[in-house]
Amino acid sequence: MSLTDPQRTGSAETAAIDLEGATKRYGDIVALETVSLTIPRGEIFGFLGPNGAGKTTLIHLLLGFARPTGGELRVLGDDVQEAPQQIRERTGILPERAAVYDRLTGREHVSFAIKSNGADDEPQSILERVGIADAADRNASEYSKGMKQRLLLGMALVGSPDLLVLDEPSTGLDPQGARDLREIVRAEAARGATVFFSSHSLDQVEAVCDRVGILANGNLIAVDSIDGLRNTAKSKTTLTVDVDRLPDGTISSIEAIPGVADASGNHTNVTVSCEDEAKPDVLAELEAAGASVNTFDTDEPSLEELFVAHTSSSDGER
Amino acid sequence: MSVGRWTMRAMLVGKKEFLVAIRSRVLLGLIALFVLFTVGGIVLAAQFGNLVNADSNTVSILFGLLSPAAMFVPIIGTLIGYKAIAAERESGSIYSLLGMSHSRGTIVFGKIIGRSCVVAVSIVLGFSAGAVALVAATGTIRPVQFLVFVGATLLLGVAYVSLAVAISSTTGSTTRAAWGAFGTFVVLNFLWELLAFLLHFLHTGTTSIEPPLPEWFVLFFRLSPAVAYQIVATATLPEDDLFLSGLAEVSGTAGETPFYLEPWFAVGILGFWIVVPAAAGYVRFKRLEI
Repeated sequence: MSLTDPQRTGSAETAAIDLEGATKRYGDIVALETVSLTIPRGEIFGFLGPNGAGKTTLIHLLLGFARPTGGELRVLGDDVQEAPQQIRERTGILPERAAVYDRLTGREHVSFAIKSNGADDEPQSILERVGIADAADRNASEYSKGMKQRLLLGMALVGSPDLLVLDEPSTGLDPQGARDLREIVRAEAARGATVFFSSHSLDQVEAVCDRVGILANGNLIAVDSIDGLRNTAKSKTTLTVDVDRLPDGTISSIEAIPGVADASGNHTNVTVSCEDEAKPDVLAELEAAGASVNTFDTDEPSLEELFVAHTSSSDGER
Repeated sequence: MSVGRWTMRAMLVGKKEFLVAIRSRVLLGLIALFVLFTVGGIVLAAQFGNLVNADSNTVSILFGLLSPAAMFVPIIGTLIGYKAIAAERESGSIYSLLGMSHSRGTIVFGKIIGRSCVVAVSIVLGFSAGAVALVAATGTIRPVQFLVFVGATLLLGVAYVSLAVAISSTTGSTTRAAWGAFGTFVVLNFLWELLAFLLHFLHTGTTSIEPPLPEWFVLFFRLSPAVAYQIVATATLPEDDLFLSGLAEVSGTAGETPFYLEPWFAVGILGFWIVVPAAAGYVRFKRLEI
């Protein structure tokens, strides 16, 4: 679907999610600290953070399950405190801590969701989309964890909502299930829906999300595209160099090179963490100091490591 | 949300509750319990009634069920209602319900409707079996009195479902909901009398309670749903009935009966116990963070 699709540009007037200083405190405990974030319509947004970072708290604020203690929160143009019902009617929700009804079949679940939403979907086609059509008439109590998750995803898709809020949707899914989930998320976004996808694990979101936000200890510490995050990752390259000898003072002159964050070394081994562009300068400096380079190796952190670094460094600040 | 859509959604929740009660055999068990209760009670009353009173007729047999029912029905209503919302919060399925566009209101009222139907169906079927037993034991039945008795029992059952669901909506723990709901049952069914007597003592300074009783005391006594139930259930008994005159002597007052001690007012009291807990539960639940 092209960006000039009339439906898509028409609905893009107001942001899907617009947060201005969203805050949630429980007494002295700050669950969410002045989070500001705008997610345009049609975007797939990955909401990352370790367990307990406040992801579910924010989702509960968005859906009117809990009330913010500060800030302005708008979803699909409506204020979350004034119109939670209108918001939920246009939103499909896959909650993190959701359960199915043991005594109802998969088909009954979907059919209940369709009637409750006043939608006109076919239960069968929803069940086929999430891949549990062959278990449609079995009680949900017999479903595996992954099948329950698929069923709940199917219920979230009912009524073609403008916004899909998926809280840890890959919980319990096997690799095939995670692939199916990504496909459905892409299809929903292609239809024009906005997808808000929370996860504690980066590889669940990097393949599908346009942008990601990283939440740690209730603070939104980064919002960027996957590429942007990758560039940040590149800036934290680790260069390991084997030299024949290491003259005194070499380490401190390396540390003085612009773009070098840190350097350390012993007799024949130097480890430098620096930006990608500074690597040649480091090698040149070593040669200039009289150390001949035997071998060198560069190591870029994976996004996963970056994510861990992001979230754990903010742990340290507290 | 339009009224039509709201009602439709509440009914959907109600239907789901009813369906689950059928599948989990809760309904079947309840029907069996009520059949056992009414048929067993009628058979026993017929046996012992004849020993005590040769004039024992359908009325006194039927009303032998009165005080057991005033205890039994509240227990059943509480049992059926107390988990309604707390269990959905405990498991997390409440989020799915809210996710499929249900409001707090359609959840609370839908739960009360669905679970009231479960209790009502078992009461109606149980008393239908009771009617057969009554005819078998005495060869006759007084339809009006029987129907009023059943109607009063239905109101009592629904009142306790409403109370229990309302209490269930205040907590995310079924354990706490159980304490709250059964605590309320104990207060209304056991401590209420004590409270009435305590108030009487504080007011008059005497521990002796003899007719004629002060009107406020009788009213207070009747505010308990179980007492109001007994008033309503016996409302169509003939004036000269032994049972009723006995009851009038205990609870009666001298002279003109004020309007608030008329039987129809007791219907209003039962109505109060249906509507007010439901409304209060809804108002509380609407504001709650879940």
